[in-house]
Amino acid sequence: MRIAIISEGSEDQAVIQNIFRAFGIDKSDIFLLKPSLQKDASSPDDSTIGTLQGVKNACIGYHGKRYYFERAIQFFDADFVVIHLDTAEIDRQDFDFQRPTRTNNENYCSELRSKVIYLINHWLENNYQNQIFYAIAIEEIEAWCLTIYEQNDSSKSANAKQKLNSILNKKDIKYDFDTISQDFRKIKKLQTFLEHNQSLKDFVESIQEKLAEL
Amino acid sequence: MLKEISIKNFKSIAEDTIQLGRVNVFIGENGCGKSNILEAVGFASADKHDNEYLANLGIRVAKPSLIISNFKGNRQKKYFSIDIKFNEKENRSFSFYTENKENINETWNIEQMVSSNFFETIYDLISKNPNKFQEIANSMGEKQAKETEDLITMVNELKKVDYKTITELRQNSNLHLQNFLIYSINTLVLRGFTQESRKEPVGIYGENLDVLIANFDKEEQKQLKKYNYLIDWLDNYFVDVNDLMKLKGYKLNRSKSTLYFSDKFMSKKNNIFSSENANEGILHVLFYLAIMISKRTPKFFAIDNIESCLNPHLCQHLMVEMCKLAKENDKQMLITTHNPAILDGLNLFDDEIRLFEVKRLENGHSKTRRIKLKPEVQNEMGEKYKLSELWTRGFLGAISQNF
Repeated sequence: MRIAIISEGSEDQAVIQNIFRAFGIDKSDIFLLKPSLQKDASSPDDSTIGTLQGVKNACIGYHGKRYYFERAIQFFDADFVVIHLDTAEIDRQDFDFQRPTRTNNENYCSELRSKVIYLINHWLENNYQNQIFYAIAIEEIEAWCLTIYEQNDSSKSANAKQKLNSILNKKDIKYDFDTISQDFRKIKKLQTFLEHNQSLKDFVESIQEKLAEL
Repeated sequence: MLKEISIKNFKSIAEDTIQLGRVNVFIGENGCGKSNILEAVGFASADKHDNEYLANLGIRVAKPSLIISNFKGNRQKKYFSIDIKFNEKENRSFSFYTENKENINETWNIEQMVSSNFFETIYDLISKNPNKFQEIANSMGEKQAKETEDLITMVNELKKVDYKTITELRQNSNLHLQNFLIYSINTLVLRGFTQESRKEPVGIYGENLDVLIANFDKEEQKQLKKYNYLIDWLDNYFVDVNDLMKLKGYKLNRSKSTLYFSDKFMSKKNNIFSSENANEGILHVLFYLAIMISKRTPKFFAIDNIESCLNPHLCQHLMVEMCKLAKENDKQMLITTHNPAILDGLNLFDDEIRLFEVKRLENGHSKTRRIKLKPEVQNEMGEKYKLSELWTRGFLGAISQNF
């Protein structure tokens, strides 16, 4: 099985790759579609690369057509495409996006995930839904990695990035996403982390469901 | 033609099977194992398996413990093996081993097996000639030899009778495989400065291109001249058979090449220069065309890194023409490249022309994947992205994921 990833950056890709490896998919079959490869050294600086806008561009295409996304399926022979978004800044961008109420809302994570999926599908004019894995990290993918290092609910962490950084510093672990998320590669271990982050759980369960259908 | 190769325990290839076409192009990151595929075929084709002979085929020789796959956490096998399928009826299996894996000077031992499909062919023929079979079987009835030995004896006896088909089949596939070489051309060699390979009629680095061309018959010459248009400045080329032009100051006596070119933009009275002074593009183009056209060069060969020295547009056009020549002259090729423009000369909707991505799995094993285009994109090819662009934009794979 071949999987293409559209994500904000290669760090996110490393984490997602490790999760898929838990399902027996070889790293070499999981491929990051790099917006940077659409440019050369003479191209003007593109501030959208590595951002939410970059992911949106990959979905809607740079000229209003979805070439970029479609190429992944047509030529890379991708069976599935993973679209990754961190939600931390999703309502600060020009995305016309309304975040669900967080206070006293037990379903905040699932509701936010659903809304982001709706947004992505809107970008893709509701095409390709059966071939997409939605990797929606609430609020950032560091919260997923945090589940490896502490037993608390990491979705409630105010600043997952900072917290993860501090834990890794204390443990003298290098801040390298492939290394810090390597425990995701083992399915049994991965299962134990799911209870500490709803958005990670939703993503992993969506993989299980789709793979079970094959 | 070879239809399929399976390689086990050879260098970075733990296990891989490749369904071949006529023109087979391999792309992938540096060090992904492309050349190892060519070398594995080289081992299977070789008549001898000492270092000198193997190196002359273009195989990078090392001590056996580095040639047999040696992956972390796995016990190294005693042998590596290559299975080759020529057609539905004929397979060959080769196993290679040495007595001492640490000795670089060891000659490889080979166990060659003819597959069960081969015997099936025999059985087919036996069933068509039951009386003859019975006669031979009766004459062997008293023997106490093992069953397999009996069978081989029977096969040999049968072959002597009238089984021309099998003999021809085997001879053809032997010939096809036997002369396999890995060309890896070098400009200095093409210029005639050095001679490394003694292979005939041309060496693997481009030795004796002048001699090959000098011996072309009229038909071959005509075919080659047709391509003069590929090099804009080229008026003509010729071989100074007696190597006398050096005496007139056309070259220093450093080069052994007797190949000369005339430039159509220069004064007719003074427009000749030797391969020592020619640009490297013409030498490379001429070499590739000559080995495709020659009746004396192998029917089956490899070119490692075809792209060097050639302009992208020329690469594309040359590749289109090489695919045509491969069909016209019944050649089969394995080609490695890092040049995207080569891909633009491949029509992947033609099943004889195949493109493969070679990659390393996370355990380091090299694996090959055929890149196929889906029929529905046929109409949009050319209007949007060319294959070269798809590769450089990251849609075909075969690029590094690390940066």
